[in-house]
This record gives sequence, structure tokens and C-alpha cells, in this order.
Amino acid sequence: MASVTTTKATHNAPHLAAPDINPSFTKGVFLGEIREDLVFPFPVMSPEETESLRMIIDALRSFAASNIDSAKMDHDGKFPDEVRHGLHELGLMGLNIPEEYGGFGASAKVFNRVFGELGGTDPALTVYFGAHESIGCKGITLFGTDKQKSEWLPRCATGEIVAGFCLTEPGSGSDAQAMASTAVLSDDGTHYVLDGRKIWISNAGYAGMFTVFAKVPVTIDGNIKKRVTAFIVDAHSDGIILGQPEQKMGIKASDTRTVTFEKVRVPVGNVLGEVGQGFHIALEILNSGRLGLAAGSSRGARRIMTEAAKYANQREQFGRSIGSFEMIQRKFAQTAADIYAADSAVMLTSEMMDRGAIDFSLETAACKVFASELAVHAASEAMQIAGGIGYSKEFPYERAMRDSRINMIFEGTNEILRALIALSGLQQPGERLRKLGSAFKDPLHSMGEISSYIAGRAKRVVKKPEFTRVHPSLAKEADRVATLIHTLALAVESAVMKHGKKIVERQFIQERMADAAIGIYMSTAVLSRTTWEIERAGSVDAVKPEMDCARLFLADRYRQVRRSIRRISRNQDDRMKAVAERVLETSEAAPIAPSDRV
Amino acid sequence: MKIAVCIKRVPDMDVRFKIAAIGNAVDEAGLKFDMNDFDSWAVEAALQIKDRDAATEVVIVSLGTDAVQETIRKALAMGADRGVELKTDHIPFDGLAIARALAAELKDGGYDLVLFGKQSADSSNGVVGAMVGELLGLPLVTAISKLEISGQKGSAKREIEGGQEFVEFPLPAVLTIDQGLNIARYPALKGIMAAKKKPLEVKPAQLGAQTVTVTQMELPPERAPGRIIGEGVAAVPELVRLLQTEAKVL
Ligand SMILES: Cc1cc2nc3c(=O)[nH]c(=O)nc-3n(C[C@H](O)[C@H](O)[C@H](O)COP(=O)(O)OP(=O)(O)OC[C@H]3O[C@@H](n4cnc5c(N)ncnc54)[C@H](O)[C@@H]3O)c2cc1C
Repeated sequence: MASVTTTKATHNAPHLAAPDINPSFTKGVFLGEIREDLVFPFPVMSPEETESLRMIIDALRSFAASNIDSAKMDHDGKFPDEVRHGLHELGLMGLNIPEEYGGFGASAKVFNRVFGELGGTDPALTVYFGAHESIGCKGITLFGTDKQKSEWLPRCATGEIVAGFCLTEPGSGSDAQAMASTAVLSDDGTHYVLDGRKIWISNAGYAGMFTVFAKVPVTIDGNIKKRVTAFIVDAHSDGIILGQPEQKMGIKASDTRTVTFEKVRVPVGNVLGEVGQGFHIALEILNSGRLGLAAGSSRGARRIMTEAAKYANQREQFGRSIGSFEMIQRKFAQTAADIYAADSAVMLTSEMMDRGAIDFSLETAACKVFASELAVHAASEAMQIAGGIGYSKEFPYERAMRDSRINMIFEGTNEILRALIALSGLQQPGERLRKLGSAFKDPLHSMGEISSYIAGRAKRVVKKPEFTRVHPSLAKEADRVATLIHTLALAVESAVMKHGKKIVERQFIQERMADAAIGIYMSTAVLSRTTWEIERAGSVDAVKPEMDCARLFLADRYRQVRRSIRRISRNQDDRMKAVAERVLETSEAAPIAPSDRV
Repeated sequence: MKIAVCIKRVPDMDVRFKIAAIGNAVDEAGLKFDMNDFDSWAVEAALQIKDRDAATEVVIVSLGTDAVQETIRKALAMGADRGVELKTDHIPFDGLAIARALAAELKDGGYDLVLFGKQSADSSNGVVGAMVGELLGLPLVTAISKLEISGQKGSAKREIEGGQEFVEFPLPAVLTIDQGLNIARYPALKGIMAAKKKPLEVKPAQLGAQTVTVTQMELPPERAPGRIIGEGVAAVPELVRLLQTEAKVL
């Protein structure tokens, strides 16, 4: 009964990472390879896509200008119905639902651009849209049967049904597999009985449909095992109880509640994918969904820095505009370079989704981590530029700080995503070495394996990878990124040899590996984008604004990544662990202050 | 009912324009183009009639380069039925030439209404609609801010200096639309998808002879920046002096 198939049925479906099957740029980086065909040429939209996109963005902007009052929605903690219905009427709720099911069938490039536009408009509304489309009903698009698709998607596309995604539970957040919710097949085999409590569920108050994850007991070889399974649940079913809206720091208008399921009957026809496939389904949904968060964060950063730039021009101190002071200029320059990188990476990663048969799971994670931290940082810098008014509720800066912060927490915390990047990246180098380990136990019969490993390693050690498609004017920068890739691969290999299986526990090191991989991916996206910009404009001089941002970013990132890699082997980790453990043991944040010794 | 709406693709006016090297045209590099606002209200007026009577056919006509197809498709995305591009290598200044080309297209079309915007945001001539009315020999009402059509009769309101004017006219007629008639709808995703499948015909524009040409364009003179000359009463004498000697307004 419980055959746990993985990617078989979905291999060629669009918007799937399918990490077990498809090539990945970042996994290549951990092996010291540059899989250039995955990141070059930089993608462009078709003229038709560009035209539709322009119309969508124009419509959204006109709609927002006359209908969306973010300050008021933040204050009231809810959206006026006209705003939600306006989005529905524009058709945005069906943006990435396939055309044959009443949606627009947007490519990932178009979808993420629109997501970004919303992110720069109102982050709470973006969560409404994202919880519905990126995660709420995305599972049906990716894994639903034709019957499930035609039953649910057309109504999701119009907004008649708003969707929600129920994964998190009181005892199971980052560790989603630890969930306690259960779904037990009824005696007559017609339905499952769903019990459990889900928390932090976005859109719960409006939802007409939930994608719910719960464990189904399955007998395997006489033992009962519980297998995570995804269900499509009618939100109006008997036994579903909604909590009160959570009072939150930011994205206040977004509706977030506890959803309790008490003996909810779910028809067997509503199992999404197969019994036991639920965890895989959750991961695939989130793998693609998080790119939207990156797009929204990047636009959010752009919007608030644009606001700050206007202010810096107009505010005078010491007889000149504050924008003329270099400490203020430094903030604009660095965020501009980072936004340039984030935009480039979001576009590049969207293209990986659109091309299909590419594992983009680490790239979407990298984009989400980078862009969410950028948005929080940019909001803080913008607030600082604005000075006192930055702290006032009458201006958008403090809201930007509150609204942007959630993106570091949901759809995989940034810690979990860093671990994902590092551990997935380590998998292949680790496997190669493990094979080698067992080979040495029986060296006479494993000469082939040993020599091929040594040959491979020699190749990696001797041969630094190369970018061949970067514009010559960026040759030096490209060479440096290649150096980073080379040194990261070597550092990874040494770390695996040194720590063996325990590397799984060494998060100090994983964090640095992930930061290095993220920096390398962002840099690669910048190389690809800038090469395209130059070729498109016909000369380097014609793209000076882009080129300056690219150079600034690449130089900065090079130093940061180099430092991360160096600290994989040379670090203060033992000391860091001792200090942290003492803090945790004593629940005292630092050694007692001198003034407390009384 | 059959309605033609003539629309123009114009640059977004909220930018600083540059004059092209030839000296008699705007440098189009980097400009964003969209449907002329007045024309979008004309499209909306037609679509509102169609909303009430589904048998109405709304045809969009635009004269210009192939770039106008995007603008036509926007109108189709809003809900119009089909489009006609009257192709030229550039949009001439001579309103009469444009009017002739449009009239040639509209003449045998069997239209009950031909709608225009009152004027275009870029050249602001405000003549093409009226000239088409003349060339087609149809009743013409300009600058309409309220419109009602019932059967083969129409009534309209016009804003005039210091008041309003109410007029009646028989169909077919040519109308030009003023601000305030309506708020144009946004194209929704469904409309954008549908627009891709709607017919868009491309024909050469029959401009005929052009007699009026632009010889030169100039930007308005740069305004001198404002100056703060002091604060409070102490600054008044200096202010008066400057207003007399520099600004020469006192
Ligand atoms: C506004 C809002 C909306 C949300 N919407 C939804 C929704 O629609 N649907 C849904 O299912 N969920 C939703 N969530 C839940 C969200 O996804 C979780 O809060 C998130 O996954 C973290 O889980 P947690 O809160 O249990 O934190 P925990 O998992 O308890 O994590 C606490 C801290 O420990 C760290 N941590 C945990 N495990 C590890 C590890 N192995 N290594 C290193 N660090 C670790 C985390 O990074 C974090 O810093 C929402 C949350 C919020 C706040």
C-alpha cells in the first residue's frame, strides 16, 4: 500500500526541483565545477511575455495607487475587502495556475516579477498572494490529478477559493517531519479522518481550501509506520476550528491563525500525490515558493531605498543635503550593488525553473536567504538615513523594518536553508569519500574506485575551473569567482575528511560553507547578468551604472566569501562552542558585568 | 452596434524630454509609451456600451509603426474585439493626413459611433477627431464628459467655459471624449490572455499629401532655481530690491 515513490511521476513537470534527478549549479560548486550552461546565457523574456508583463504591472500599479493604503492596512490589521477583491478581479490569484485550469499560466520569470512588484507595494498583501499561490494551491498544480486540478484550480484562479498551506504545528516548525497531526483511513476506505493542530497559518481566515500535511499510519512488514501525506481539505468541512488572528510585528494585515482539525473527514480522492509522499511534496512546493519571497524582498529593498534617496536629496544639514555625506552614500552604494545581485539571481533562478530538468532547490534557498537579509538590512539603512522621522509611524521606514523581517523566518528559516545548502552540497563530496573509505577496506578489489577517485581529486586539485562565457571586461572578476569555487571545493573535501560523518553536527562550518556558496551563486548571477547587459548595449561604456554595481558587488563578495572559506578550517569554533554552551547552561547572556559584582 | 475607437500611442509625459539629433522630433530612447489617456476613456466608453449590449462590436484603430500593436492589444485586453493598425514609418504631425488615413479605413466600416480622445498628450493638436467627422460627413460632438446612447440617438454633456452644455445627435456620429467621462478599466489577466487571440489586422496607412511639418523643436528655458535670501523681517528690503531689479515684477 504505502509505496513511497519520489519524483517518478513529476520528472518533466515545470517548476519542480527534483533534486534527486536533475543537475544543480551549486552542487557542482561544492565539487569545484562550474556548470556554466545552467547560468549562461542570462535569460530574457519573450516579447509576448514582456508585453503581458508590462500590462500586468501597469494594471497593478494603477490599482495600487488608487486602492492600497498600506499604512491604514497596517494600522487596522486587515485588508479592506475591495483590496482583496480588486486583486481577484485583476486575475492575480490565478497568475501561475495553468491556462487550462482558468489561470494565466505565467512562467516563473513573469510570476516572480509580479510577486516582486507586489512585494514593493505591500508586503502583507504579498503574503496573501503568496500563501495562496506559491504554497496554498501550488501542490495541486504540481502533484494533483486531472480530476483534482479541475475540481479546485479554476476556483482558486478567480479567488473564489483562497488557499492556505498547513504544515507548521506547535511541536513541529523547522522539523516538519516531527508533525503530530494524523489522518487515519476510515473502515469503509472512503475517507481519512484528520486530527491535529496547525499554527501560523496564513490566509486561514479567508481560506476555502487548505493543503494539509498529516501522518498516515501504514503497515510495512507487519510494523505500523507513520508516513507524511498531503491532503486537499475543504476549509468549510465540519471539525475545522479557526483561532483568532495572531497579533504580529509586521505584515499585520495578513491573516494568520491556528487551524485545528477535529475528526475532519477528507475523501480518499483528496490525497495529494501518494500516501507517504507528503514530505517530498512539501519540500518541492517550498523549493519553488521561496523564490517569490526573494523577489518580493529584493523589490522591498529597492522601494525603501528609493524612498530614502528622495529624502536624502531633500533633507539638509550643515548647509548641504545629507545625501552628499559619504557615510550616507556608502549605504546607498552597497544596497544598490546588493539589489543588483538579488535581481540578477532571482531572474536567473526563475529561468532554471522555466527551463525544467534543473535542480534549483539550493539556488532558490540562496536567493531567499540573501534577499531576505538584504531587505532587512536595507530597511535598517533607510531608517538610519531618515534619522528621527525614520522612527516615526508617519513614514514608511519603520513599517519596512517590521514587514521585511518575516522573510527570514518563514518558508524555511534562514538557518535551515543554510543547513540545506551545506548538507546538500556536501552530499556528493561526502559520498565519494565514503565510497573511498569502504574501498580502502578491500583495496585489492577496489583499485578502480581508488584510482578513479585519486585521478578525480588530482584533477580537482590541479585544475581550477574556468568561466568561458563571461564578457572579457569582467575576466579578472570571473577568475576570482572561479578561485573561490576551487578553494571552496578543496575546503569542503578537507572538512569532510577531517570531520567525517560528524560534519552533520558542525553547523559553524556548514554556515560558512553555505555563506560561501550563496556568495558564489550571487556573484555568478552578477557575472551572467552583466555580460548580458554589455552585449545588449553593445559596449561597456553604455552600461556604466550596471558595471559599477557589478564590480562593487564582486569585489566585496570576493573578500567575504574568501573569509568564510578560510574559516572553514581556521577558526575559533572550540572557543565559540564553549562560550555558547556556558550561556545556555547558565541562561546568562554573558559573564557577570563588573557593576553587578556587588 | 458597431463602434470604432481611434487611439494613439504616446510617451509617458512625466519625464524630461530630449530633442533628437534631427532637431524636429523628440528623442524616443528610454521613453515609456502607453495609450493616450483621453483615448483610454474613449475605449472605456465603448466598452461600457458593450457591457450593456453584448452584441456590440468594438474595433480599435491606431495609426503608427508596429509598436502601436502593443497599445492596440492593451485595448483588446480591456475588452475590445479586434484591432486595425494603419501602418506608417512614423506618426506625421499633419492632422489632416492622419484624419484622411483614418477616414479611409472607417468610411465603409458601417460604424454607428466613432470615438476619439479629445486630444493627444504629446502633440495636443486636438484636430484629428473633428477632421474625421468632417471627412466622413457625420455629426460631430467634441469634448464630451457625459454620454448616453439609446437606439439611434445620443445625448452628451460638454464642459464649456463657465458652464455646461447638453447636446443631442443622431447616430452614426463622431465623438471626442474629455476627462471625467469615466475611469478606464485595467486589463485583467483573463483579458490579457484573450487579447493574444483576438484579430489584429495590419494595413498601410493612406496618408496622402502632408502639408504641415514640424521644422524645429525647443525645450522650455531652464527655470532659475529658487533662492532663500534670508529670514523674517530683516530679509524684506533685499527681497524688494531683487523683485525690482532682477525679477522686474515690482
Ligand atoms: C507570519 C507567519 C506566517 C506563517 N505562515 C505559515 C503558513 O502559512 N503555513 C505554515 O505551515 N507555516 C507558516 N508559518 C510558520 C513558519 O514557517 C515557522 O514559524 C518556521 O518554519 C519556523 O518554525 P518555528 O516557528 O517552529 O521555529 P523553530 O523551528 O522552533 O525554530 C526556532 C529557531 O531555531 C532554529 N533552528 C531550528 N532547527 C534548527 C536546526 N536544525 N539547525 C539550526 N537552527 C535551527 C531556527 O532557525 C530558528 O532560528 C508562518 C509563520 C509566521 C510567523
